[in-house]
Amino acid sequence: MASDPTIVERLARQTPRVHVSIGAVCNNNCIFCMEEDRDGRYVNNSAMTAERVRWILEQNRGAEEVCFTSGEPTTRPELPDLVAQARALGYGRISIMTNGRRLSSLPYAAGLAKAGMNRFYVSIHGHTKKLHEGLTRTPESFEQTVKGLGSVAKLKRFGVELHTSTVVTDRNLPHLLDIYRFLRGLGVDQVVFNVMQANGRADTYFEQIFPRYSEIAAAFARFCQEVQDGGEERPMAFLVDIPLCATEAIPDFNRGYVESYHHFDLATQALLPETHRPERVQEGKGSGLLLVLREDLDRAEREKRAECASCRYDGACSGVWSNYLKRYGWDELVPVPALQPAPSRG
Amino acid sequence: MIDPGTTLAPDRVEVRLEEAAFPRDAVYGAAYTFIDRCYVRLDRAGDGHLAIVLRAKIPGKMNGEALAAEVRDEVFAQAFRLRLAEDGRELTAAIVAGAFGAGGSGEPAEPSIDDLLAGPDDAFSAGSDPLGIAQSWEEKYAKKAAKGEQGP
Repeated sequence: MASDPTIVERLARQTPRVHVSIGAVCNNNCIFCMEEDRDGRYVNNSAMTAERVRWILEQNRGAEEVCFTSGEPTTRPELPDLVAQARALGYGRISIMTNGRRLSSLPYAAGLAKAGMNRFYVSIHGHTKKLHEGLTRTPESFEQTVKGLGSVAKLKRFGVELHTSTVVTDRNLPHLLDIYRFLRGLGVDQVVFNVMQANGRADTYFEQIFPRYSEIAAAFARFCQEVQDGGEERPMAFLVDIPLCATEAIPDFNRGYVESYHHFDLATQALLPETHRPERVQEGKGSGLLLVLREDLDRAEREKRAECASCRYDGACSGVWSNYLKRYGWDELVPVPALQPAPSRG
Repeated sequence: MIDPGTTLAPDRVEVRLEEAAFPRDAVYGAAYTFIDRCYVRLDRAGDGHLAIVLRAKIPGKMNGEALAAEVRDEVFAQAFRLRLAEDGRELTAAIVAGAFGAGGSGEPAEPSIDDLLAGPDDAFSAGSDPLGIAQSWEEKYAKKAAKGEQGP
């Protein structure tokens, strides 16, 4: 039997994805939200009219996945129509990043699935009301999100996939196993534990909520072991957006990564260096938009140090958030020696 | 006139019935309806016959002849109900299956995606938002938001 691809191989095999930022507003108020500038987001995402979204969809035909995201996409009434357009244009994977509250209406969730939505990434940050709503700071959000998960679980027999995203903070880090069991019990296919981007509110409240990478990695490794001890050989849980040098103790299968994607922002809102702008300006019906790559944010907000060049993961690593390094420094992040080639038979 | 199949005695009535004429369940059902007023016994009464024997719970209060007629009426009524139930069995099954969405296998059928699109009423249809979930956080909690950004 062929062995599973390693994290480095998985990273190398990524295929293009396009994100469409359509949620001008959000109905949650998460303490770690990286979109801290809500006015700026409103301006940018309000400008993503149905015509512009259609242009984006047409320009990116052939992408492996289109994901409706930013703000809370379900606040856009046209969402089912946009999904239907994506399907008509031939997108095979049509997804959404959502807090899932609107999905608590089964007819609404079914409407999205019928239009063509076939993967849901639902954000849920705890297995209890107290834990989740302490982070979302929104009354009733726990009940509605859990009910939303229930709706999507009912749609799985129509080919819909249900993934969750739990942003790891000081508060929920001690409860990874409880959260995992809770979510799997609700029918979730993949439970993703997302380490915070140290930007936006996560930077503002860094001291109160941001655990060290070494603590997160150790807790996640213990969690994997506990799940395996419980009889589940391969936990369907993945730790994402943490430097690979910090996660050597985690089973390779459970090491996730931030997908490679690109999106389009208003030229007036995009955080892009002037030097990159000329080549990213869009024309025609995309006039006024700039192409933004995930790597742009990495280049602007992450760092590497000289020692990283000796690390086994250097080529696959995007670096460490500068805002993280300002607080915790490099001490816990030690380059991993390169693999020694297997000795040849003489 | 007393039915030849009936035996009357003080505080006691015995009604004999041909087994071939009435289903056993009809006889049981009919006898059961008297247990609040009488002590009831079912017994064989010679070849091909059953007997329903009723004995008064309160001595001196039993009208034996009327009670015997009531027993016979009840046996006919029970037999008729059983026949109706049997004749309507398929129809009943079809109605129940329809109500619960049952398929031909007898297992409850899964709803189609179109079934799921329809909520219990208009308030729960796909496009509606009766709880205002799609409202922005600022719009819904404007008073708190006006006081400034919350701390952790």
